[in-house]
Amino acid sequence: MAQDPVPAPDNARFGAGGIGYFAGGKPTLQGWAALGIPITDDNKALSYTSFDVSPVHDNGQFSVGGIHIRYAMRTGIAYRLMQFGKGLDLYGLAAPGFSADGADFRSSIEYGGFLHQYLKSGWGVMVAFTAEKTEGTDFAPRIGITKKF
Amino acid sequence: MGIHIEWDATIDFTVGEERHHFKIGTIRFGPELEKWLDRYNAVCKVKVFDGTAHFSAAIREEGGAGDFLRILLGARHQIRRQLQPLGVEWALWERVHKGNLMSRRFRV
Repeated sequence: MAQDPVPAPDNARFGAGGIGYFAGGKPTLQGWAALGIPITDDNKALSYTSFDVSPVHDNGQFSVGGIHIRYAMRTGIAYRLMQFGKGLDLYGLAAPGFSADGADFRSSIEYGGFLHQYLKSGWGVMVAFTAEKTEGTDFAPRIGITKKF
Repeated sequence: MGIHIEWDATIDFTVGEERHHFKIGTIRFGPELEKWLDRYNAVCKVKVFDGTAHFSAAIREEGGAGDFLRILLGARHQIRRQLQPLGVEWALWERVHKGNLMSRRFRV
Protein backbone atom coordinates (compact mmCIF):
# COMPACT_ATOMS: atom_id res chain seq x y z
CA MET A 1 0.00 0.00 0.00
CA ALA A 2 1.34 3.41 -0.94
CA GLN A 3 2.47 5.76 1.78
CA ASP A 4 2.89 9.49 1.54
CA PRO A 5 6.36 10.90 2.07
CA VAL A 6 7.19 12.11 5.56
CA PRO A 7 9.97 14.33 6.91
CA ALA A 8 13.21 12.47 7.42
CA PRO A 9 15.31 12.79 10.59
CA ASP A 10 17.03 16.17 10.60
CA ASN A 11 20.64 15.01 10.52
CA ALA A 12 23.43 17.50 9.97
CA ARG A 13 24.28 17.97 6.34
CA PHE A 14 27.31 19.90 5.20
CA GLY A 15 28.37 21.80 2.16
CA ALA A 16 32.01 22.19 1.21
CA GLY A 17 33.98 24.29 -1.20
CA GLY A 18 37.60 24.94 -1.98
CA ILE A 19 40.39 24.30 -4.38
CA GLY A 20 41.89 21.11 -5.74
CA TYR A 21 45.01 20.03 -7.59
CA PHE A 22 44.27 17.77 -10.52
CA ALA A 23 47.42 16.11 -11.77
CA GLY A 24 45.97 15.35 -15.19
CA GLY A 25 43.69 18.35 -15.52
CA LYS A 26 43.88 21.53 -17.54
CA PRO A 27 44.17 23.75 -15.59
CA THR A 28 45.71 21.74 -12.77
CA LEU A 29 44.12 23.96 -10.11
CA GLN A 30 40.33 23.83 -10.16
CA GLY A 31 37.44 24.89 -7.99
CA TRP A 32 35.61 22.24 -6.10
CA ALA A 33 32.36 21.90 -4.14
CA ALA A 34 30.62 19.03 -2.37
CA LEU A 35 27.47 18.18 -0.50
CA GLY A 36 27.31 15.55 2.25
CA ILE A 37 23.94 14.27 3.43
CA PRO A 38 23.70 11.65 6.20
CA ILE A 39 21.62 8.68 5.12
CA THR A 40 21.90 6.63 8.29
CA ASP A 41 20.64 7.65 11.70
CA ASP A 42 24.10 7.24 13.25
CA ASN A 43 25.53 9.72 10.68
CA LYS A 44 28.20 7.23 9.64
CA ALA A 45 27.20 7.02 5.98
CA LEU A 46 26.87 10.11 3.82
CA SER A 47 25.39 10.55 0.40
CA TYR A 48 28.29 12.46 -1.13
CA THR A 49 28.15 14.55 -4.30
CA SER A 50 31.07 16.54 -5.62
CA PHE A 51 31.52 19.06 -8.40
CA ASP A 52 34.82 20.09 -9.97
CA VAL A 53 34.61 23.30 -11.93
CA SER A 54 37.21 24.91 -14.16
CA PRO A 55 37.30 27.66 -16.81
CA VAL A 56 38.18 26.57 -20.35
CA HIS A 57 39.01 28.57 -23.47
CA ASP A 58 35.98 27.41 -25.40
CA ASN A 59 33.45 24.65 -25.78
CA GLY A 60 32.46 24.72 -22.13
CA GLN A 61 29.35 23.10 -20.79
CA PHE A 62 27.98 26.50 -19.88
CA SER A 63 29.26 30.04 -19.50
CA VAL A 64 29.20 32.60 -16.73
CA GLY A 65 29.88 36.21 -17.70
CA GLY A 66 31.39 35.07 -20.97
CA ILE A 67 33.74 32.59 -19.31
CA HIS A 68 33.29 29.02 -20.50
CA ILE A 69 32.95 26.52 -17.70
CA ARG A 70 33.60 22.81 -17.64
CA TYR A 71 32.42 20.67 -14.79
CA ALA A 72 32.60 17.16 -13.49
CA MET A 73 30.00 15.73 -11.16
CA ARG A 74 30.19 12.56 -9.14
CA THR A 75 27.88 11.13 -6.57
CA GLY A 76 28.39 8.19 -4.27
CA ILE A 77 28.94 7.37 -0.66
CA ALA A 78 31.31 8.42 2.10
CA TYR A 79 31.59 6.23 5.18
CA ARG A 80 33.10 7.33 8.49
CA LEU A 81 35.96 4.97 9.21
CA MET A 82 37.46 6.56 12.31
CA GLN A 83 37.05 9.42 14.76
CA PHE A 84 40.12 11.11 16.19
CA GLY A 85 39.45 13.12 19.29
CA LYS A 86 36.96 15.95 19.17
CA GLY A 87 35.33 16.57 15.82
CA LEU A 88 37.97 15.05 13.52
CA ASP A 89 36.57 12.32 11.31
CA LEU A 90 38.14 10.13 8.64
CA TYR A 91 35.85 9.07 5.81
CA GLY A 92 36.34 6.57 3.01
CA LEU A 93 34.86 7.63 -0.30
CA ALA A 94 33.67 6.05 -3.52
CA ALA A 95 31.77 8.19 -6.01
CA PRO A 96 31.16 7.20 -9.60
CA GLY A 97 29.95 9.89 -11.95
CA PHE A 98 30.70 11.75 -15.13
CA SER A 99 32.57 14.73 -16.44
CA ALA A 100 31.35 17.05 -19.13
CA ASP A 101 33.36 19.48 -21.20
CA GLY A 102 30.66 20.70 -23.54
CA ALA A 103 31.48 18.23 -26.26
CA ASP A 104 30.88 14.89 -24.63
CA PHE A 105 30.21 13.08 -21.38
CA ARG A 106 32.71 10.65 -19.94
CA SER A 107 32.26 8.35 -17.02
CA SER A 108 34.69 8.70 -14.15
CA ILE A 109 35.08 7.64 -10.56
CA GLU A 110 36.50 9.43 -7.54
CA TYR A 111 37.78 7.31 -4.68
CA GLY A 112 39.94 7.62 -1.60
CA GLY A 113 39.10 9.43 1.59
CA PHE A 114 38.94 12.71 3.41
CA LEU A 115 39.55 14.20 6.84
CA HIS A 116 36.90 16.49 8.21
CA GLN A 117 37.52 18.68 11.23
CA TYR A 118 34.56 20.50 12.71
CA LEU A 119 35.31 23.91 14.16
CA LYS A 120 33.06 26.39 15.96
CA SER A 121 29.63 27.51 14.76
CA GLY A 122 29.23 24.65 12.32
CA TRP A 123 32.23 25.57 10.20
CA GLY A 124 34.93 23.09 9.43
CA VAL A 125 37.95 22.18 7.33
CA MET A 126 38.16 19.29 4.92
CA VAL A 127 41.19 17.72 3.25
CA ALA A 128 40.52 15.07 0.64
CA PHE A 129 43.07 12.58 -0.60
CA THR A 130 41.38 11.14 -3.61
CA ALA A 131 42.16 9.81 -7.04
CA GLU A 132 40.08 10.18 -10.15
CA LYS A 133 39.83 7.59 -12.83
CA THR A 134 38.55 8.78 -16.16
CA GLU A 135 40.89 7.64 -18.94
CA GLY A 136 43.84 7.23 -16.62
CA THR A 137 44.08 7.57 -12.85
CA ASP A 138 45.10 10.93 -11.43
CA PHE A 139 45.83 12.00 -7.89
CA ALA A 140 43.45 14.82 -7.04
CA PRO A 141 43.88 16.24 -3.52
CA ARG A 142 41.48 18.94 -2.41
CA ILE A 143 41.25 21.33 0.50
CA GLY A 144 38.29 23.42 1.48
CA ILE A 145 35.99 24.75 4.14
CA THR A 146 32.72 23.19 5.20
CA LYS A 147 29.54 24.46 6.77
CA LYS A 148 26.86 22.45 8.50
CA PHE A 149 23.29 23.28 7.66
CA MET B 1 9.98 -1.07 -20.02
CA GLY B 2 8.84 1.96 -18.07
CA ILE B 3 10.59 3.35 -15.06
CA HIS B 4 13.39 1.16 -13.86
CA ILE B 5 16.84 1.29 -12.28
CA GLU B 6 19.98 0.35 -14.19
CA TRP B 7 22.59 -0.59 -11.62
CA ASP B 8 26.02 0.91 -12.30
CA ALA B 9 28.16 -0.48 -9.48
CA THR B 10 27.98 -2.63 -6.36
CA ILE B 11 30.47 -2.43 -3.51
CA ASP B 12 30.44 -4.70 -0.46
CA PHE B 13 32.80 -3.65 2.29
CA THR B 14 33.56 -4.37 5.93
CA VAL B 15 34.52 -1.84 8.60
CA GLY B 16 35.58 -3.53 11.81
CA GLU B 17 32.97 -6.21 12.19
CA GLU B 18 30.24 -4.32 10.32
CA ARG B 19 29.46 -5.53 6.83
CA HIS B 20 27.92 -3.02 4.43
CA HIS B 21 26.35 -3.14 1.02
CA PHE B 22 26.43 -0.21 -1.39
CA LYS B 23 24.83 -0.08 -4.78
CA ILE B 24 24.44 2.83 -7.19
CA GLY B 25 22.21 2.99 -10.22
CA THR B 26 20.68 5.28 -12.80
CA ILE B 27 16.93 5.76 -12.92
CA ARG B 28 15.54 5.26 -16.42
CA PHE B 29 12.15 6.76 -17.04
CA GLY B 30 11.14 5.35 -20.42
CA PRO B 31 11.28 7.01 -23.85
CA GLU B 32 9.11 10.05 -23.19
CA LEU B 33 10.65 11.03 -19.91
CA GLU B 34 14.17 10.32 -21.13
CA LYS B 35 13.51 13.14 -23.61
CA TRP B 36 12.66 15.33 -20.63
CA LEU B 37 15.93 14.32 -18.99
CA ASP B 38 17.83 15.23 -22.14
CA ARG B 39 16.09 18.59 -22.27
CA TYR B 40 17.20 19.40 -18.73
CA ASN B 41 20.56 17.70 -19.14
CA ALA B 42 19.60 15.72 -16.04
CA VAL B 43 20.96 12.59 -14.46
CA CYS B 44 18.95 10.79 -11.79
CA LYS B 45 20.81 8.45 -9.50
CA VAL B 46 19.76 6.15 -6.70
CA LYS B 47 22.19 4.97 -4.05
CA VAL B 48 21.36 2.03 -1.83
CA PHE B 49 23.26 1.73 1.42
CA ASP B 50 22.19 -1.22 3.54
CA GLY B 51 18.46 -0.59 4.17
CA THR B 52 18.22 2.94 2.81
CA ALA B 53 17.92 4.28 -0.73
CA HIS B 54 18.85 7.88 -1.45
CA PHE B 55 17.82 9.63 -4.64
CA SER B 56 19.66 12.50 -6.21
CA ALA B 57 19.37 14.38 -9.44
CA ALA B 58 21.66 16.77 -11.22
CA ILE B 59 19.46 19.20 -13.05
CA ARG B 60 21.04 22.11 -14.81
CA GLU B 61 18.06 24.27 -15.53
CA GLU B 62 15.82 25.82 -12.96
CA GLY B 63 12.37 24.36 -12.80
CA GLY B 64 13.45 20.82 -13.55
CA ALA B 65 13.75 19.67 -9.97
CA GLY B 66 10.03 19.98 -9.26
CA ASP B 67 9.23 17.96 -12.37
CA PHE B 68 11.69 15.31 -11.31
CA LEU B 69 10.15 14.99 -7.86
CA ARG B 70 6.65 14.70 -9.29
CA ILE B 71 7.82 11.96 -11.63
CA LEU B 72 9.71 10.22 -8.86
CA LEU B 73 6.73 10.24 -6.52
CA GLY B 74 4.42 9.12 -9.29
CA ALA B 75 6.73 6.22 -9.98
CA ARG B 76 7.24 5.11 -6.41
CA HIS B 77 5.24 1.92 -6.90
CA GLN B 78 7.59 0.77 -9.68
CA ILE B 79 10.64 1.89 -7.74
CA ARG B 80 9.39 0.15 -4.60
CA ARG B 81 9.05 -3.13 -6.50
CA GLN B 82 12.71 -2.94 -7.48
CA LEU B 83 14.01 -1.87 -4.09
CA GLN B 84 12.08 -4.28 -1.88
CA PRO B 85 14.04 -7.38 -2.97
CA LEU B 86 17.24 -5.56 -1.94
CA GLY B 87 16.01 -5.20 1.63
CA VAL B 88 15.53 -1.44 1.36
CA GLU B 89 13.19 -0.03 4.02
CA TRP B 90 13.40 3.72 3.42
CA ALA B 91 13.79 5.91 0.35
CA LEU B 92 15.12 9.41 0.97
CA TRP B 93 15.51 12.50 -1.14
CA GLU B 94 16.09 16.19 -0.65
CA ARG B 95 14.05 19.09 -1.85
CA VAL B 96 14.48 22.81 -1.67
CA HIS B 97 11.55 24.55 0.00
CA LYS B 98 11.60 28.31 0.61
CA GLY B 99 15.36 28.35 0.38
CA ASN B 100 15.87 25.45 2.78
CA LEU B 101 17.01 21.97 1.89
CA MET B 102 14.57 19.51 3.42
CA SER B 103 14.86 15.74 3.70
CA ARG B 104 11.86 13.59 2.86
CA ARG B 105 11.43 9.85 2.89
CA PHE B 106 8.86 7.20 2.22
CA ARG B 107 8.74 3.65 3.45
CA VAL B 108 9.56 1.09 0.78
